[in-house]
Amino acid sequence: MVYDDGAVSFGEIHSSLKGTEAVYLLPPSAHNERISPLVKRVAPFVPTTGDAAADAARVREAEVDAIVTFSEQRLMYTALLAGELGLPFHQPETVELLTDKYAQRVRLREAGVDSVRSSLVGTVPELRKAVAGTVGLPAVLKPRTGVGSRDTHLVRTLDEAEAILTDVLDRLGPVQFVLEEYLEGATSAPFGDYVSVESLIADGQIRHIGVTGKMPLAPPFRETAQFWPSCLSPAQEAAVTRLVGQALGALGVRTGLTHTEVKLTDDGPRLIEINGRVGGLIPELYGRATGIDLVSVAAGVACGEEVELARPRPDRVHFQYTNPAPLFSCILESVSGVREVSAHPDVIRYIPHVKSGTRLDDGVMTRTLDMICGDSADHAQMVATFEEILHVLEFSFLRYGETVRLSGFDLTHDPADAPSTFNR
Amino acid sequence: MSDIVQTVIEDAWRSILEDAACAPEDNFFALGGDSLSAVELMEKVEGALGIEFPLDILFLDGNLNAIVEECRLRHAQAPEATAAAGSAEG
Repeated sequence: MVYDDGAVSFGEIHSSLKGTEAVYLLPPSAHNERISPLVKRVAPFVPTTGDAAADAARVREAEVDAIVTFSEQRLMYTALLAGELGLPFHQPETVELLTDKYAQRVRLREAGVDSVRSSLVGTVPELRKAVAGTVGLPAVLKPRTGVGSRDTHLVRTLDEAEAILTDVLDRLGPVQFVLEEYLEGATSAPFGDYVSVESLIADGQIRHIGVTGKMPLAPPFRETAQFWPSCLSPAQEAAVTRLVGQALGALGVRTGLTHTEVKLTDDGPRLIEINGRVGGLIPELYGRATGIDLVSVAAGVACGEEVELARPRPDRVHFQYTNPAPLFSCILESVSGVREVSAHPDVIRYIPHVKSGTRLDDGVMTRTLDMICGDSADHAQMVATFEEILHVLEFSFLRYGETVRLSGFDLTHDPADAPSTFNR
Repeated sequence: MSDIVQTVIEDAWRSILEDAACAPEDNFFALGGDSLSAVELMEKVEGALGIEFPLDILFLDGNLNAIVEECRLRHAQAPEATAAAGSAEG
C-alpha cells in the first residue's frame, strides 16, 4: 500500500486491511513524516526514498504480490514502482492521462469519446487567444494538474478571466492552466446537474459499482452532498456508465478503482474528469449503503482475486452532506446546533472536520467543515432533511477581527460568499 | 472511577476532539478524529504516562472507554510509567 495524503485515511485503510499481510510504503512528504511514527507501530513498513527505481529493491525484499494507492499525488510513483516490480497497476502513460487534465481532454477528443473544447494557457496572451479561438466563453479555468477544485474558476468575460489568471500566476508563479468549455448543466433542481461513477477495472474488464448522485455545487465549484442511489432513471444511468466505460478504455485504464465525474446536459452526459483512484469520502458512503468495502476491493483486485460486487438495491437513500468552508479567509470560532442535527431521525452521525481555532484560507475549495452521514426514505425526504439541518447548524468565523455567523444554508447561499469576493 | 490515566486521556481527548462531554462510549473517529489526530493523541498520552499507547485498540475499537481500560493496564504494569498527569496538556 503506497500511502500518502489522499482519498482514504490511514485509519480507514488499516481498519479495512486488518488481518491481511498489507505492507505500507510511505514516500517522503510532510503528511507522511507526521504519520509515520504511527504507521510503523501498527503495520509492516518499508522505508522509501520516493524514487521508484531506487525503492524497488527494498520493496522486492518484502515479497509483495500487489501494489495499490488511494493517493492522487502517488499515482505516478506507484505506477513506476509497479513497472519495476512487474506488478499490475496503471501504466505510467495512463497515469499521465489521468492526472494531466489537458492531456486527458486531448486523448478523449482523439478517441471520439467526448469533444469538450480546451486549450493550455500559461500567460494572458495565450488566454486571450484561447478565448477568441478554440474555447470561447463561458469557460472553466483550472490548473493543469491537481486534486479537488483548488484555483478552479468559472469565467464569463475576458476581463474576469484575465484578472483571475493574473492573480493566480502572481501567487503561484509560472504554472499551466487549462481553459475549457463550460458545460451548461440540464435543469435538475433540487439535485445537482452532475454525478460521479465509481468503477472497478480488473484485467481490462470494467464494472461500475455505482452512480453517485450529487446536490448542487456551491459557487464556484464546491461540493456539498453526495448520495446513493442517484435519482437518475435506469436509462440515464446506462447512458452515463456507457460514456464512462468508453472514456476509461480511451485512457487505457486496465486495473483498479476509478472515480469519474459526469455532467448531465440537455445533449446527454459529458465528461468532467476521470480520476485514477477512489473518490473522496466514497468508501464511507458505499460501505454504509452497500456493505462493499472499497479498500478491500481495491486490494483484492490488485492481488488478482475475484471480487464480488453483488448488492441489494437499497430501500433508502444514503447520503453525506459536507458543509463547505467559506470563500473568505477566516478562523473557525465555534459551531452550534450539532446536538440538534445529530438527533434528527435521518442523521446517523455528525463528524467535524475542522477544529475551532483553525485558519481557513480562501482558494482551498475542497476544504470541508464537517460531514453529516445519514439515510432517508427517498430523495425528497433527503432534500427536506438537508433543509432542516442546514438552518439549525450555525458556524462562527473570525474575519478581520469580527465574528461572522453563517448557518449551513448561508454557507452555500450567502451573497457575501459570491465569487467576486474571493477570486482575488 | 476516575484516576490519573483517565484524567490524562480525557484531557488529551477533549483538547484534540473538542468533545467536552467525553462519554465512555464516544468513538474517536466518529467524533472527527483522523490519522493525524491519532498521532497527536498517542504523543500526548505517551508523553504524560510513559506507556506505549494502544494504537490497535484505537483503530479497531476507537471507544474512549476501551482505550482508558487498556492504558490503565499498561500503566499498572510499566515500571517507567509516570504518575505525573499535569504534563498531559502540552
